[in-house]
Amino acid sequence: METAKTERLSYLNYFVKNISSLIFPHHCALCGKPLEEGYFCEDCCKKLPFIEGNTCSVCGCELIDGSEMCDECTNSMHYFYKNISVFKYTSEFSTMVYRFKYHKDRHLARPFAEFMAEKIKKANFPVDFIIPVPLHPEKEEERGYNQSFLLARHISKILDIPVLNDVLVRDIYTNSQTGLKKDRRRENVCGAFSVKNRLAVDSKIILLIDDILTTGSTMDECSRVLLDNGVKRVYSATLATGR
Amino acid sequence: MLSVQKYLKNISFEFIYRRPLFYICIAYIAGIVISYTFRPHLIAQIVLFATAVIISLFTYLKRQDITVLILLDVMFFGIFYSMLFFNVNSMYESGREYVLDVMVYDSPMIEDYRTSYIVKPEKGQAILLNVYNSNKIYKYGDTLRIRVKTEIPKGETNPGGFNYRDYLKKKGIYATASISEKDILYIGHKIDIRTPFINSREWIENIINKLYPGKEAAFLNSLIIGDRTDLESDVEDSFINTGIIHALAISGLHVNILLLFIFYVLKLFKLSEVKRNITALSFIGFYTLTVGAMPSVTRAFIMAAVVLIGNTYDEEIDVLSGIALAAFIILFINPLNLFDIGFQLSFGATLAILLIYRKLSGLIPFKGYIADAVSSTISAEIGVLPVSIYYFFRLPVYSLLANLIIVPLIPVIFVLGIISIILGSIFWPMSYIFVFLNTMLIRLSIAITGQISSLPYSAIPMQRPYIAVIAAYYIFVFISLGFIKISYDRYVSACLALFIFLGIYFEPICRNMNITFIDVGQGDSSLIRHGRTKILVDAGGSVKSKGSDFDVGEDVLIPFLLSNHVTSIDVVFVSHTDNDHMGGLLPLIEKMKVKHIFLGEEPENNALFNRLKETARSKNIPISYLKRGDRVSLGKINIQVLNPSENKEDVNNTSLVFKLSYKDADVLYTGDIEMKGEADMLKSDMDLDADILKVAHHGSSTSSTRVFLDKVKPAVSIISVGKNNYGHPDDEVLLRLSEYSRVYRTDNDGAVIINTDGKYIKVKSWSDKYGL
Repeated sequence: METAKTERLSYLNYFVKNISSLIFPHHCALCGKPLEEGYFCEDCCKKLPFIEGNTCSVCGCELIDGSEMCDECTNSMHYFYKNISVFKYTSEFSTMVYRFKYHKDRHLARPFAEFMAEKIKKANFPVDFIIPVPLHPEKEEERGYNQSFLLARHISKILDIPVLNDVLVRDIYTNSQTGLKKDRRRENVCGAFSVKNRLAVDSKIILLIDDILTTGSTMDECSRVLLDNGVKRVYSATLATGR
Repeated sequence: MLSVQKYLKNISFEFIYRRPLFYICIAYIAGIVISYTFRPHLIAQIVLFATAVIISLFTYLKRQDITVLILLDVMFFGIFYSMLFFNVNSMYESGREYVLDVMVYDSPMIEDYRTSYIVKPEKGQAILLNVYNSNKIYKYGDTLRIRVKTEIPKGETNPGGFNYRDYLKKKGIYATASISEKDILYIGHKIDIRTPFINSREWIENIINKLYPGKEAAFLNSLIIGDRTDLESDVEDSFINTGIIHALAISGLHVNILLLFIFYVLKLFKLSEVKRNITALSFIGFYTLTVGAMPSVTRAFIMAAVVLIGNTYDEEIDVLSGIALAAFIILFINPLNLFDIGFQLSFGATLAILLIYRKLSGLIPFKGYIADAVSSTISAEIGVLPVSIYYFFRLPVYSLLANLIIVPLIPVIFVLGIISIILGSIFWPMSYIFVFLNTMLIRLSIAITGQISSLPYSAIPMQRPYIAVIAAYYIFVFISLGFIKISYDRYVSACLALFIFLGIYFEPICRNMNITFIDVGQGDSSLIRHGRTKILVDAGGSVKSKGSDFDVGEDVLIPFLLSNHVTSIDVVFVSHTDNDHMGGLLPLIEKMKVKHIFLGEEPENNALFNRLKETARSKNIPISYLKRGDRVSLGKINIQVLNPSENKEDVNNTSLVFKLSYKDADVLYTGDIEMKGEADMLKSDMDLDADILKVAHHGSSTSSTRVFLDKVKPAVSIISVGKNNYGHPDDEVLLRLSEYSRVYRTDNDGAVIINTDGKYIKVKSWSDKYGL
């Protein structure tokens, strides 16, 4: 009933309720249709590759059969305790992530963070702090922003958990993980991170935020460094998983 | 239910209907235009507006669609709100003396012996005050007691000409006055909210003038603080000719460079994103106010603010909504801004770049910087072409070339300029190397622009496009870009293209004879049109003298002709070689096609005439000399020459005098002839009888004798006169003329337009039309 009504109302009515939508109007991130609120139109929302059903208890990827862990997780251990992801990293979705990361479509941080926060809330992680996976300062300069930090900031606002952006830093400028094999990825990020202010995170539970989890090597390296510096446990949440 | 989308189904202005602010802004602009064109009744408008708001409120409470109602509300608001600006009349009376306590309201403008101030009484409208030969300079905030005789600035005095009154009104000035130092008493000094901005502008200007040599300083002043007063007009002209004048008007380009520069500096301080953006925005805001918040800078500032704020809060950034917001704010501050050239060009170009750029860059086969520059230049050009032709009367042919070469230099000059200002204000020798480099760069860009502008066919003169042609042009652009979807679009666009092409060159044909005595200030000029024949008698004065950039030929006569769709002249009659009759002819024959020039006697050794002769020779324009008894026929117009005779006389008395006849209507053109010449003509016993008399020598007491007027018996006399120190027109002559005829004078009546079918004569004063 409500939807029928809003459909009849032209969206210009909406600005009476929300003046900022005048200057920053919302459009569906996929098809560009003007929206009154939200970030995806109904049709496109259905198309999004949500992870549903049975998931791996460690890395959070979707499992077709009823098993508890995916093959990769049974074969190799992770430093992080548990990861959850919202989307499958399909080729369609990857273009959107690409836009989010490189093409200044940083407003996508809002809907993405909303999806992630919802999932984190459901998972009920007992975390003290949120830490985004950092970018090397040079790279951040180049891109203009750290997408993980944007996600972390909005998740923090929704869940009311503080973000620590200056604890974990990236010291080494590494090449992009994209297109590297698993072993090379691990080598690539090895020793790239360090902890600046270990007192702040001492025996705390941390939620790491990143955009994509593929092999998990970045996440592992961050978790390892954090755990080495006295962190009690590391949970992680990513926007999408490539598994 | 009404839904705008439904009605716009065929017009796929997707870019509009996805953006509510765009609708609203267009509705508001429509309101301003309606208000400007129809000048409706204020109370009625307020009632309409209130009714519309109440209806929309009720509809909204009933939870029904109010899209269309909101747009109507905004439109009615626009109508009534802009009337508050349009309907303001001057509180001063013309010619009345006032003693006022005023505050100097802007930095003084100093030109040679004249200093101009904008002064404003505490509660009242501003006055433009010209002080001559004064050695004192008052600053912003000084309060003065002045005794002034105010004058109401003239409105549009020639059809399609410059409207000085509206121009000043836009700046909040409602009267002008000339005053001598004696009538000014200094009272004190006030400091208000604008003081820091004015002071910093003056401070920057002073540093630039101290560091840079004159020409380069003027260039940098226009680039950095938007002050173009010192810029030489031929530099400005060459920038207009090459289509890169936008580089000198502070706009998005400059604001973006400044933003990048500020960000670069702020990086040293390692601020958080929010703090960094706010700091940068405050700097830009300060800069915007310092340079005087012209529409183009304000637009750039608001759009930058939308982008930066949107980025900071991860909002979806929509530049088109940003531009709509900018337009709305600027037009809310003053709806008159809609008619500002800077506003139209700035918004036109930006909008066009936003809409067309991507489509264009897809068509360009190569990529990279040049491709970007080409597509942004072309898209901006597509957007503002009719507007720029409307105001500048020329087609910048080498615009693309100039944009590719000069525009990349502008950011460098700008940043070097800012660095040199900062260093120069600390310790001037530090800035030496930057100043040196920048001076070279500025010289280079002026030289290159000058070169491009002097290439053949660099600026093709164009007549003012008809409104229908402009409309057709934009519809054509919208169809070809796919914003309007219609069936048979190819045929429609082909027809439109043909219409535009013909429309550009179409000159109206006058069925009746039409004579316009043009207001050229002190001087003579009149245009006679019949059928396709165009005759010009005299051309007004002033070939640009040193110290003044104003030139009647270039700034009044040529714009008048082009805005009235006259692109060529068949015959020019020059009564004699005095500047106020021939000066304007030099730029005219240089820029426009003139087929033949007629003079009275060939003068000996007249510098101005020698220049004319030389230009005419290079343009292959024949010059012929007429004497008493000669007859010239131009279509149905016959000309009978009455003077000069064989007798040797002075310049004025050898003026070319002739009777121009169209069927039964006779017009007597007398040049600057004086008593002696009049007597000589009377003696020869020619038929001097005429219906219309162009009064000799601007109504001087030395001409228009009673015996002469007895013979001419005019029904209408026209005095071509402007502000002068000769006492023209003479009161006695005026009285004498009024005994015989109705007297019109171009200084009070503006252009005097005569329309005759050869039997009846209609006379119209252009200023009357505008209620001067």
